[in-house]
Amino acid sequence: MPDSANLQADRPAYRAAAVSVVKHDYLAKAVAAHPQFELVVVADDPTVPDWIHARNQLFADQNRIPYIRDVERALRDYDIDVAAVSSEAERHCDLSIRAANLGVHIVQDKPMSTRVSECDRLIEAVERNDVKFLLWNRNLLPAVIHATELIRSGEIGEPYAVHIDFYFSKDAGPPKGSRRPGEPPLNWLELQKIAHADGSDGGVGVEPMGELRVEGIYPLAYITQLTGQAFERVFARTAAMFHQGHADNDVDDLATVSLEMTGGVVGTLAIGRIGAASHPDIGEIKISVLGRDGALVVAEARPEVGVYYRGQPEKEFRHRRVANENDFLLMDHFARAIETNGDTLLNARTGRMITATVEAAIRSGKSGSVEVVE
Amino acid sequence: MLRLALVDAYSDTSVDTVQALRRLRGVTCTAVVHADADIRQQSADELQTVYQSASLADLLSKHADEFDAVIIHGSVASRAKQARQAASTGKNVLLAGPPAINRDELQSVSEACRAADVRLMIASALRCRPSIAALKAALDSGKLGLPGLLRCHAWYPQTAGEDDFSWMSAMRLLELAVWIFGKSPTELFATTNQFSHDAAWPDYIQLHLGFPDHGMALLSSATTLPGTAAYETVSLIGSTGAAYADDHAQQQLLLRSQSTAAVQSGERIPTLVAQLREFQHRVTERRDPPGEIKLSFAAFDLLAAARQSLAEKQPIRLGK
Repeated sequence: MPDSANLQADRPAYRAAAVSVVKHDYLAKAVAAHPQFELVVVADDPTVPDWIHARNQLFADQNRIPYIRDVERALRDYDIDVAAVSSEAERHCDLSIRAANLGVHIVQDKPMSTRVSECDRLIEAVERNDVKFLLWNRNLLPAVIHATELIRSGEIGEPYAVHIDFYFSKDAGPPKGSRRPGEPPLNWLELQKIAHADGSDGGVGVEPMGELRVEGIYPLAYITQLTGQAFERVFARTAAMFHQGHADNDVDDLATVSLEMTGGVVGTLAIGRIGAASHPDIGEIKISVLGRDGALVVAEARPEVGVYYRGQPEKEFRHRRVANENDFLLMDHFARAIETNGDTLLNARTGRMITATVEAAIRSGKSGSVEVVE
Repeated sequence: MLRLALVDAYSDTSVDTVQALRRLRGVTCTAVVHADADIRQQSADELQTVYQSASLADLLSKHADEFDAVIIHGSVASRAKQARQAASTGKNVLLAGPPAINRDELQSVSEACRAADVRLMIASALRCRPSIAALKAALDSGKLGLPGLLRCHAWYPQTAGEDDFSWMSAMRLLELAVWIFGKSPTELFATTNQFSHDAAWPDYIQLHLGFPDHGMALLSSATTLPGTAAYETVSLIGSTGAAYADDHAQQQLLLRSQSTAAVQSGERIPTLVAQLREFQHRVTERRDPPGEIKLSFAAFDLLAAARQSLAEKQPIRLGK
């Protein structure tokens, strides 16, 4: 777990570029907010569609930095140390590889990619260029840190089984069953562009992505951190249960996964974009771990505070997370990894393993068979 | 008045039964059975019963006219035999779940009760629990839409049970899953973990079910908790809503000088009241809900499929 902030850092040590800010912009903002990083430019390829240019330009304007329509030129001309990559998922790895090839460290949004082969290309580039790579995650949320510390201190003995509930309750377009006869299937990218307004466009891209692909990295990264084990075999059930866009594009919004890991550890994952009606807050997220000498049940949302008032908008969360330093701690950790030439919390190889696990689960959901994580 | 004989219950069950009976009209406990004289006397004192015996056979031979029905606890292996004994003398039977060690044993109990025209109720502490009953009521009312994802954990202390306790616990979860979905699954994948090498049964069983119409369930049964407290929790995601029984086990904080502890606000007494009330109504109204015994049979079939899945390390496709 990270130490406290580096008190010697009274000025930015690393110059950072936001390389595409297509989605909700939490990643670029997290980089900009940390005192050791200075966000100096937004960059993207000249050939991207106009709506992407527009989002990049808006973010650049809001942060009073230039937007350069040439990634390589921006990284060179602005003497960039760190690229914060937050494009559509299908472009993630390619942009990161190009940054790595210029000797630039990378903080990349999730999911790592929609293709394991792209993760392999990225691993090769990161290792050949000896740069640091951090896949964005939630492993430094207060409750996850607490759970990790309890396990590492031996409070429940050696973990042998893990279960994660990971439900996001935001809606994702019209409910399933709402498309009228004769109407065309919903276009995935257009749905995601609309969802940008409320920040629920994590699946933005041309290629449709279900909840396993969009959010699966988070709970699977919890499990790797809590157990220190790797995934070997999976069995999954997947369904488009709630949203017309998911049904029309044959991707999951609800899934269950059985996990078999190294060291004989087993686990399960319940994941879904279950709709705003199904939870009063952002969603039910719980971590349950069985150890040989005890067990742990952790509410990921805690610490939180309840706020209720007359006239409260229906969609405003009644319970709000507090003391959440995940963004700061991730960037702090990344700065130290650069300074000490240490490993990152979620490096390219672990990210690749998680991506392969997600892909195996998706295959299993379609085949009905156990699939090996390749 | 429905007069009960409590068979092979531990003293804490007797204490709970006293509390439950105080909340009911027309039900009383007149006899206790237990092989252990101390436990028997303690239960008799708690319940203020007049009649007690070391065995059900002895009670039936000496005091058969003093009770109308039996509540059978004790080891799962002995439940079916005792249920048949009771039924053959015209006693209604409330059988703690799991009701028997296998399908054939349960079948014999069912046939014995039918032949004697007495009621057989298989008590499910899960189905009768207020939080789970509320979840099911919300589902049945249509508020949650179609059942999509059921998740249950049932974790028990290491000392919780007899041989095969983890499988028996898994069976209770399977029965619950079939009850909630209202149908049997079409797919089952089982995984276990075993590290207590002195035990012949798994420390942990993980069951992954697939149901028609995209339904799915994850069930976990463990027998490795330290201490004496059990942990059971259920959540259900439906197509238009969800219900979550408290994952933190209805715990309250106890702040003391040296440490902070969690204490449970239990659902035990209301669960037992619901069971006894239902049993009373069935006996009075002379009805046997046809679906209940089928749930137990389905659970036995699924348990067999789980063992097959474990042996083959593959999911099992189940009959439609």
